[in-house]
Formats: sequence, structure tokens, C-alpha cells
Amino acid sequence: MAMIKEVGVLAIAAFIAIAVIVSIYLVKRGTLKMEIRRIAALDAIDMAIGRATEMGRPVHFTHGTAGGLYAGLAQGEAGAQIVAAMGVLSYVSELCAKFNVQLICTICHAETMPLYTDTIQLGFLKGGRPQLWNSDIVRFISPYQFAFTAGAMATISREKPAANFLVGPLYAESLLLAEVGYNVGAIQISGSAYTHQLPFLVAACDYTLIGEELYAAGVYLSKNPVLLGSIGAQDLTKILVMIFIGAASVLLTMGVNVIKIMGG
Amino acid sequence: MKTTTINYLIYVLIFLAVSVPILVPLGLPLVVSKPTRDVYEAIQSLPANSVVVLDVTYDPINEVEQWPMTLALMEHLFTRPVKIVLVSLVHVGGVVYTLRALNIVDKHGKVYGQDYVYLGYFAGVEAAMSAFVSDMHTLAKTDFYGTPIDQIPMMKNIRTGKDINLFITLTTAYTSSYIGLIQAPFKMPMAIATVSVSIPEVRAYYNAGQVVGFLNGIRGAAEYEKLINRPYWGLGLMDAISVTHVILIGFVVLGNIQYFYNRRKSGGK
Amino acid sequence: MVWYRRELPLTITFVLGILISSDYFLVFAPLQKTAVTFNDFATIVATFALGLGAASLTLMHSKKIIDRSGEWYHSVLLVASLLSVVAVGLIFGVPSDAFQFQFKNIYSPLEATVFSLLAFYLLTTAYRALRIRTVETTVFLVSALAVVMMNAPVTEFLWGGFTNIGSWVLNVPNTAGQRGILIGAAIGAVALAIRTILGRETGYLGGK
Repeated sequence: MAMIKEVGVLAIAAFIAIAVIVSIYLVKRGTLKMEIRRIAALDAIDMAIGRATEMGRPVHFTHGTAGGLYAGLAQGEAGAQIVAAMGVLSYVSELCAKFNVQLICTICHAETMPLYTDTIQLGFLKGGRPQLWNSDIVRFISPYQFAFTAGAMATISREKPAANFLVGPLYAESLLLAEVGYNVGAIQISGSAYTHQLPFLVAACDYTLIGEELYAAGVYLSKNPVLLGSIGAQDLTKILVMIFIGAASVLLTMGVNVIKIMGG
Repeated sequence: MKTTTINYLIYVLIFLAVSVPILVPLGLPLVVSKPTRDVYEAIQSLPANSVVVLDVTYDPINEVEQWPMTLALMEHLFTRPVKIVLVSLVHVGGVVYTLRALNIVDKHGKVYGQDYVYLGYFAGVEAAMSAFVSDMHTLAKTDFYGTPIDQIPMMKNIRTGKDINLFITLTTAYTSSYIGLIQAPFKMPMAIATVSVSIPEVRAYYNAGQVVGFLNGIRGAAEYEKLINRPYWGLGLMDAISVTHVILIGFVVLGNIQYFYNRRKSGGK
Repeated sequence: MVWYRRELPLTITFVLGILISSDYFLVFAPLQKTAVTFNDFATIVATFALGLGAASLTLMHSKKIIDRSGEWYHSVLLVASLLSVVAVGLIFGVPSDAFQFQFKNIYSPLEATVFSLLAFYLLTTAYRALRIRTVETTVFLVSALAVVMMNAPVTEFLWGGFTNIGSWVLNVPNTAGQRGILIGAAIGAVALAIRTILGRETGYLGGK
């Protein structure tokens, strides 16, 4: 007989799932209208690719070294960031095809190669130049973190991209790649949900997607109004969490420990 | 000053700042911080026969910061009358460092199988963490050396997270996973010894009381070595850390002076 | 678009997403066994993908060597290293001294060297980025300096107040920001996962 564990987590996940489904349905029906605020880092993608077009230099994209399936499938958060990064890569490759700009992707985990290949090929197709694809675009360097970092740094130094995208679950290589990108004069757009790398990315890059801005990137760039409903659902959940935190803090001040009552 | 000139100056100064204090120790003083002291007190206050899990799980990249912590923590644990379960739940590199540390530390008469055991490395990160605290005997059918776990005397009464009195992890990241999968379900006291870059995240859990204490990178290792009076790398590198930090502050100040000077020169634009 | 480029991957994503998520929440032995089996499948796929990556790497650099294009001599070094490690591993075995020598005495020091570049680059970034330009950068600068001075034993010795300031920065604004970002990112990740499972997140499938 099945027994349910992690009831609290299940309740929150179920709430978010229902909120996402309902809000997508309501937006599709026209009952709900959603607007998303401007995200500077995502708006800058067009400018970055335009810069690469004018300078005749390539665009570099990497998601970093985290998230290998080989690491045991356990890096669930890294996997989510890679999926989010693919949303950005899809748009970047579409623009590269539109403006006939060379795209270079360096990857650390070979199992992401089909993901990259497919995303870029479809992006090129959408951009109207499927013939731009060649197997040199996606370069697997090494599954080891700093071997990959050394290779990616060398790639950036040699190819001198005009735009450097460091989007996804980056670890310690974030600052190294960002500095090399700066040294070759690239405009740098980064994004990560890992708080331990955000300070380096914010300091070293021109634009940074912080935390959930990365997860909203795919929806934002697709300009799909229906999917904006899911962003609304996220924000609704956050509002409820804020209300809960505020109420629990007030109750704790009055001597009622809500977390303990809930079994925490 | 040109950017390239400044960069070369930085590189030379950093090289000297790190290498000279290692060769010529300055003996600068060190104040032990509260989080480190809390880890020390958490171990020191454990009653006899308490079960402590020491999860050594980092790869060679983080050896400089975490190897001295491994030695210091292990040295301290072996002086206490506790049962020590050693395990590696994230990085396979932990195996190398656990075995190396076991060869080095003074075990104070503790007997393998009765007072301490090494269960080995388990792949799967979060899956391994979850399985470890659900049922150690299912996850680890044998210890690292191949002895069936049922034949290890001290493991008879140690099966799940409920049997653990203190969980210490030497991890580089995955703090949220440790808290969510190990600490929270069993409310067990947890101490984290990790690299400095992960400390801002660990602090949030320390302030919430979910982590009893933490060791902050090489500085945490140095503080712990001072507490247990066993100087090693940690204390040896503190002078280099001090000098490097002072150079960092100096260059930040210099950068701002240059910025304001250039701004003034160009008429405030 | 043909069904196996879109419908098939979306179906597989949906089925496996529901399966693996259910295993996290339900205690049900057959489900757990199935989830473990699929986890093993994923590890096998990843291992084969590693072979694919190595082959792709070798082909790309071999092409460079044959065409003598660019810095092809670096490619010679790469292909030679790759083949030597594979050969030593196959002939003498991974636990052998020869294989361990390559790892301990060549790879590990190189890895540590690249990692140590962080120290140099951190300073150049700090010099470049920590400027009193705007309110935000000033706050960034002040907080960074507060924490640096807290961590450096010598500054702490000069004035104990640095510890209190640095601790306040870490305990109050840093903790608040960390928690906010963690909670937001976690909710965002769950929403992304739900969109992916439902087949709504199609960035990796070309967007539509």
C-alpha cells in the first residue's frame, strides 16, 4: 500500500502545479491578462548579437560545469537551470541565424550535446538559416571542471567573441570565464540560480539574471502570453509565502511557534 | 595607470603575498569565531557513546581548504568517547581523503568496528543522502573493506537518522540538500565544514538554528586547529590570507582613487 | 514536424517526470524499483554520451591536425594525451601506478593551477568592479570590504569592530537576500519542472 511522505513539500508542489495549470488555462481563455516587467539581461540579448554582427565576431555560450547526469542525476536544481539555459540558447541561436553570426558553444557534459545540438538546429531553422549548422558549433571539452574551464578560456581567448553568454548552473569557473570574456572585450550576459556564484557574475558581467529570472527567461523570450500565466502562478506562490512568513513572525513574537506546531 | 600594467602588478603582488608568508611565517594573531566555537562545543558536549557521522566528501580542487578541516575534526572526534561513522555521500574524492586521514590521525586507542567504521562512497548525491538516513543497512550492505554491516558490532544499533546525534559534513555545495534531506526530517544537529564561497548560504541555516555551527574555509580550519592545539596547514596559511586580503583592500581603494581622479580630469563626466 | 522530434520526447518527459516525482513523495516499493531502474538507465545513457563526447573531441581535433588549421599543434598535444591515458588505462588498468601517476602528477597539479587563477582574477575583478559609481555599486563595495575585513585575521586584530560589522552584513542583509533568492529560485524551479513535464517549456525543442 502506498504511503505518502514529505507531505508539506507535496502540498506546496501541488499548489504550484494547480496554480500553473489554472493560470495558463485562464490566460488562454482571455479571462486573465498578464504582463511581465522588463528584464534588462534578456532585453540586452538583441543588443549583444547586434554588436557581434557589427564587429564580425562570434557569440560564445556555455552553461558551465554543473548538472552532469553522470554525477548521479542528483543535481536536480542544476538540471532545471540547464533546461532554462536552453530557452535562452534557443533565442540566441535564432538571432545568430537571422544576423548570420557564428555561434560557439562549449560544454562540459557530453550528455548535454544532443540537447545543445537540437536546440541550436531548431533555432537556426526558426531564424531562417538551417544551413549555418555545423558540428564544430558545439564543442565538448572535458567532463572535469577545470579541464573544461581551461579549454573554454582558451576558446574565448582565441575566438574573441563579441558576446559571451554564461547562463546556467555555473560553479567556480564563472569568474574565470567572465574575466577572460572581459579581457577580449565581449559584452557578457550571465545568469544563475546558484547564490554562491551570483556575486562574481554580478561583479564581472554586464548583465546578470538572478535566481528565478533565469527560470522565467524561456517564457520571457518566447513572448508567449499563455505561458506568462505560469509566471503569475509563481508570483502568487511567493506572495502566499511572504504572507505566511510575516504572519508566522508576528505570531512568534507573541509566543506562538507556528513552525513547531506544524511539526517543524 | 593602464589596465594591463595594473593587472600585472596585481599578479606579481598576489604571488608574493601568498608565497612569502608561507616561507617566512609572520605569526599574526587569530581570533576564533563563534560558529567555529559552536562546532567545537557541539562535539565536546556529546555524551559518551553518542553517534557522530563524519561525511568527508570533496574533490581534489577543494583539498587546500577542506583537508586541514578533515584532519582537525577527525583528531578532535577521536579524542571523544563517541562512535564515529565515516561516509562519503557526494564526491568520490572523499574516499581518498578519508583513507589518508585515517592513516595519519592518532586514534587514541579506538578500535575499528567497535568505535569507528568507514562505510565508503555512495553515488547518487541526493538519492544517497536520502537512502543513508532512511536505512544505512540497506544502502551500505558492507563497509568500505567488504565486511557485512550486520557483522560490525557498532552498527547493530545504528540504522537511521534517528540514531545519529551529530552529523558533520565536509561538503563543497549541496547545503540545501543536506538540510532538506538529512537535517530537517530528523531534526538532528548538523555542522557544516565547507569552502568560504558557500558560507553565505550556510549562514542562513545557522541563523535559523538548523546548523549548530560551521567552519569557514581555510580560516575555519585554522581556528579549529587553534582550538584543538594541533597546528597544520590552516594556521600556516593564515598569514598569506591576511596579506592577500590587505592587498585586495589596497587595490580597491587605489581603483576608486583612480576612478575619481579620471572623473575629475574629464570634468565630472 | 515529425512525431519523433516532438511528440515522442514530450511523452517520455511527461511519463518519466511523473514517475520520478511520484517516487519522491510515495513509499511504494514497485515505484521505487522502477525509479531506480530509470536512474540506472540515465547513468548508462550518460556513460555512452561520454564516449560520444570523446569521439567528437577526437574527430574535431584530428580534422584540425590533418588540415594544419589554426593552432593545430595544440590539437596534437590534446589527441596524444587522450590516447595515452586511454592506452595506459586499457593496458595497465585504472588502479595501476602508471595510470595513477598520470592523474596525481599531471592532471591534479594542472587542475589546481587553473583553480588558483581565481585568486588573481578575483583581485582584478575587484579592482575593476568595486567602484563608487552608483548607490548599488557603493553598497556592493562597502559590504564586500566589510566581509573581507572580517575574514582577514590582521584587520580583525587591528580593530575588533570589523568582526561585528562583517557579521552584521552576513547575518542580516546577506541572509535576507539569500533566503529570498533561494525561495524564489526554488518556486521558479518547481514551476519550470511543471511546465517541462506538461510539455509547455519547449525552449529545448525550438520554442513552439
